[in-house]
Amino acid sequence: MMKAEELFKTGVTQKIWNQYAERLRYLLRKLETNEKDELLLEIQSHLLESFRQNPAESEEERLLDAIHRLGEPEIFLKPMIADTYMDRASRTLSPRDVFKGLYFTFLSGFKKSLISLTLGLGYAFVVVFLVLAILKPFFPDHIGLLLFNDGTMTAGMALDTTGVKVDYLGYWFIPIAIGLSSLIYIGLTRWLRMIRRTKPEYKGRA
Amino acid sequence: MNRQNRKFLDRWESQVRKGTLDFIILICLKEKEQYGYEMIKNIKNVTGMEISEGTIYPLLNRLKKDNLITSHWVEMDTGIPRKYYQITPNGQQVLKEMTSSWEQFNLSLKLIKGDDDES
Repeated sequence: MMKAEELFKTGVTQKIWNQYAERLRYLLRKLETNEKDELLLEIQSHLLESFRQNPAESEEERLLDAIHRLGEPEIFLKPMIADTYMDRASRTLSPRDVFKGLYFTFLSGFKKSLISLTLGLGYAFVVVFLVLAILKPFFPDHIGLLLFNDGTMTAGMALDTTGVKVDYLGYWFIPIAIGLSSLIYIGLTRWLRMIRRTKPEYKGRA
Repeated sequence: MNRQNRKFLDRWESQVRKGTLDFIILICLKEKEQYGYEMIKNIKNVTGMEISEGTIYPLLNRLKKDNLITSHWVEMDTGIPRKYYQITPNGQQVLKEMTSSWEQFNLSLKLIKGDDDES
């Protein structure tokens, strides 16, 4: 294969190429040398084909476009790395390889679960604080940012108020709880929208 | 079509395409050997599918491990070597079975939809 210096005219393009190659090497570092080299060569060969066939004028633009169309290596390489570890595990019976294979296989599922859990907890927090804001006028001593004699602090509701030393916020708890809930609600919803907007892996003709 | 329906349809089409990509790859390789980039371009030209290009390599790797395809490197004058894939006799056999299953599935769909003229 030609060296990068022979392929690109500008230093910027070469830098982009080198950085991407480094990213690939890092991701594939645990694979066996021959597997890693072959995969690296194949991906680089793909990028160069894509680069050469792009009609755009700017060299940087052509390479960045080729990289963009190839996709995030962290995502598209995951199944292959998982397969490699599982294959190796079936040969060597190594628990370490089994664990790594399973880790990569379930990583994407785990990520989704983590996002759902965070969103669920976040929205529950919003609901709880809105309810507390509504209930504050009815239970003024039980709800608030309360400091107890033993030094502990509660932001929310306390059933037993005998040990309460200070209610820091008083009725300011209501606007602060509503404001905080609203901010969290907006933040979570924007995050959710961002996740939903993520492009699918395969797109059909419009 | 409203935006919500469009989104649903896009997601559904994406899942169907994802599920049939290995079948499509074997069909592509049935007639002649091809390298990854060439396959992606051909799939796009014929079906209109825009594949996130990197996703084809794990699939090719899997098909190779399943002994359905093989590969070899070819040095090119451009200095960029290409990894060509070709279908194995085992792959041809599996493709035949897959085609038959696909046709059966298609027929079942027509039956369930009630397309009497087709059944």
